[in-house]
Amino acid sequence: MIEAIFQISEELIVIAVAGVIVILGMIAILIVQKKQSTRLSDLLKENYEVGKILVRRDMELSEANARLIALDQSKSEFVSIAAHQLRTPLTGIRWTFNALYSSEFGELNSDQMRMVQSGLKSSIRMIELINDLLNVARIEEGRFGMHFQSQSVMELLEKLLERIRALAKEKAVILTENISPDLPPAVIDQEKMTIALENVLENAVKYTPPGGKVTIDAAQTGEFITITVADSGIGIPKDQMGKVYTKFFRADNALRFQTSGSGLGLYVVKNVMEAHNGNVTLDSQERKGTIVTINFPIKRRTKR
Amino acid sequence: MAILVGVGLSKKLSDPKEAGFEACKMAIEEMGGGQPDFTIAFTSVVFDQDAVVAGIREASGNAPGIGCSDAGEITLDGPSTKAVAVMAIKSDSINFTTGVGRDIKGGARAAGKAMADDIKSRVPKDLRTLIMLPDVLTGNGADIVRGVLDSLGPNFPVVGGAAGDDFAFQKTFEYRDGEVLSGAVAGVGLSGKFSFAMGVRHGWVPVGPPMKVTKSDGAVIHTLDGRPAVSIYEDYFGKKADELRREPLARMAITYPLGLKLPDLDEYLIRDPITVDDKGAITCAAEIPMGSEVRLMIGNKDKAIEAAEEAARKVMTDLESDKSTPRFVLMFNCIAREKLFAQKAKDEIDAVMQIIGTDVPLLGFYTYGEQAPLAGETKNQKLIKSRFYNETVVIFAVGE
Repeated sequence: MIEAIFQISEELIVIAVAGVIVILGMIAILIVQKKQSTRLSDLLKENYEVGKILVRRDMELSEANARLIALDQSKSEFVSIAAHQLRTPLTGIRWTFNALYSSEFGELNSDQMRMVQSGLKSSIRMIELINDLLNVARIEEGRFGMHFQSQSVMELLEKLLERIRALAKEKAVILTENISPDLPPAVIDQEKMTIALENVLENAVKYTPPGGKVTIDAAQTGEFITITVADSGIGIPKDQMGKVYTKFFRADNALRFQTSGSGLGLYVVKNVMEAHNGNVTLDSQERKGTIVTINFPIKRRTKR
Repeated sequence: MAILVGVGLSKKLSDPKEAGFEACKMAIEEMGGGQPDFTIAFTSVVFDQDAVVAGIREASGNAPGIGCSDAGEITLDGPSTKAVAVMAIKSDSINFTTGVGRDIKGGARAAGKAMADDIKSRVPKDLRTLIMLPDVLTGNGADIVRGVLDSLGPNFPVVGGAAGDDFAFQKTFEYRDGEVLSGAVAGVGLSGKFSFAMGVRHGWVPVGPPMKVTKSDGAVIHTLDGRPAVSIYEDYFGKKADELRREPLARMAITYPLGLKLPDLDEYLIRDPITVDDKGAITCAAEIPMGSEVRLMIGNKDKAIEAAEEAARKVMTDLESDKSTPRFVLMFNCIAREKLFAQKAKDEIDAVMQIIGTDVPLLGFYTYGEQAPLAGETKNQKLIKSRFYNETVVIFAVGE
C-alpha cells in the first residue's frame, strides 16, 4: 500500500517537475517574444521617424531643385530678352555705318572712312555675338524648337559657301571644296543646320592665318551625311580640348590670335547636332590645325 | 504585309490648326508619304483643341484617329511641352476601329463599356487589343477599365493612358475621328495580323511602416489605422491638413503616392491621392479596398529608370518569342515620373529606346493614369488582368 503511494507520488513528482519545466519554458519564450516584439515595434517606430526625415528632406531638395530650375529659366529668359532688345538698335547703328561707308551721304576722307569702317566692323561683330547669345538662350530655355523637313543639303551648302568664299578671299585663306555631287537631301532643320555649319566654317577661316588652307568635304557615308572641315590654323592646345564644348570657353591661343568670338559656337554646334541625332567630333593639333567632323542621319530615325 | 509609321511634332503656338496640320504632315512624310490608315495625336491644352484636330484631319485626308490632351508629349527627341505630336500609321495587316464613351461623370463604368461596345459592334475581325484614352478628372479610372472589360471579357488586354491638361487638373479633352470631347473616353480596337507586347513598371519603393485601410468607399479612403486618411501626409510632410487642402493634394503628393501590396505582383500597386475633403478623407485616382495595407511610396530616378528598362526588356522578350520586331511604340508615362526626373526626363525615354531600338517610331505622353494588364501579361489569356495604374510607365509595342 505504502509502496503504491510512493510510486504514485513519484510519478506525480515527475509530472509536476515536467509541468514546471514546461511552464518555465513557456514563460521564457513569452519573455523573449515580448522582448522581440518590443524591439520590433521600436524598430518600426524608428523606421517611421527615418521615413519622415527622408520624405521631408526629399521634399526640401525637390523644392530647391524646382527653384533652381525656375531661376535658371528666368536667367535664360533675361538673356534672351536683353539680347533681343539690344539687337534692334544695333541693327540701326550697323545700317547707319553701312550707309556712310558706301558713301550714300557724300564722299568721306580716308580718316573718316577708316573710322566708319571700324564702327561697321564692331557693330557687325556685336550683332554676331548677340545672335550667339540668343541661340544659347533658346537652347537653354528648351525653345530650340526643331523644324524638320526634307531639304537639299547641296543647296544649303552652296548658299553658305557663297559667304564663306568671300570671307576666305578677304582673308587670303585658300578654300578647297570637295562636295560630292551625289549628296542626297536630308530631313533636317534648315535654319539650325545653317547656324551650325556656318559656325564651323567661320571658325576655320577665322583661326587660319592668311595664306593658310581650309578644306570642306561633304559626302554620304551609309545612312549619314558627313561634313569635314579641316584648316591649317592655330589649332587647340591639347590640355584644353576637353573644354571646347563648354559655353564661353575660348582657348588661350585663340584669345591671343583673334579677339572677337563669344566661345559659344561649338556649344551651339553640339546642341544642333544632337537634336539631329547626329554628332560632332574634333581633332586638333596646336599650330597645325583643326579638323571638325559633323555627322547627321539622312532620315530622322536612323539607328546610331 | 507592312506596317509603316511616322511621327511628327509641331510647336506652332500662333496657329493651332497649322500646328496640327504640320505635325501630321511631318508624320506622314516620315511614314513614307501617301494616305495614312490611322492617326494618334497627343496635344498640350495651350492649343485650341478643335483647331488642332481640324488641322490633323485635313493633313491626313480625314483618316480615322484618336487622341487626347496631355501633360507633355513624348517622341524619340525626348519630352516636349506645349506641342502637338502625331503618329501616322499605314498598314495592310492592322485594322483600326475607333470608339467613344461619353459622360464619365454620369457613370465611369458605363462610359467605358459604351466605348468598348462601340468598337466591338463595328470591328471587322477578331479584336486583339484596345487602346484607351480616358478622362479621369471626372470619374474613377479603374471603373472605366472595368466597364471596358464588362464588354470585352475579364481577360482582355487593354492598354492606354489618361488624358492630361499640363498639370492644371481642371479639364481634359479626348478626340475621336475629328470630334473633340471632354469628360469622355476615346478608344481604338486593333484587329488583324500583327504581334504586340506590353511592359508595365514603376520603380517606386515603400517608406515607413504599413497602415491599414480601416474605412474606404471606392476611390475614397476615409481612415487609415482609425485616423483620418490625410494624417499620413500630415505626419510625413509635417504640414497641417488645411494647408494640404489649399491646393490639389495631387500637386504636392504626386511624387509620394500610396502603395498597395497585391499577392500576385512583384511591385506595389500605386494609387495617386488627388484631393482631400473637410474630414480628411483622401480621394484617389482609383479605388483602394477596405482592409488592405497601404504604404507611403517614394521615388528615385535610378530606380525609375531601371523600372522603365525592365518594362522595355519585357516588351522585347515578348516580341522576340513571336519572332517579330517592333514597328512602333506607344508610351503612356505618368506625369509624376516627369516631375521626379525634372530636367532629366529624356534619360528615361532614351534608356527605353536603347533597348527597343532608337530607329523605332515612338509616340507617347505624360498621363494622369495608365492602363495595362498586370505585369504586362498578354500571352497567357487566363492571366491577363487589365488594370488602372498611377506613377507607372506603360510601353506598348506593335511588331511584325
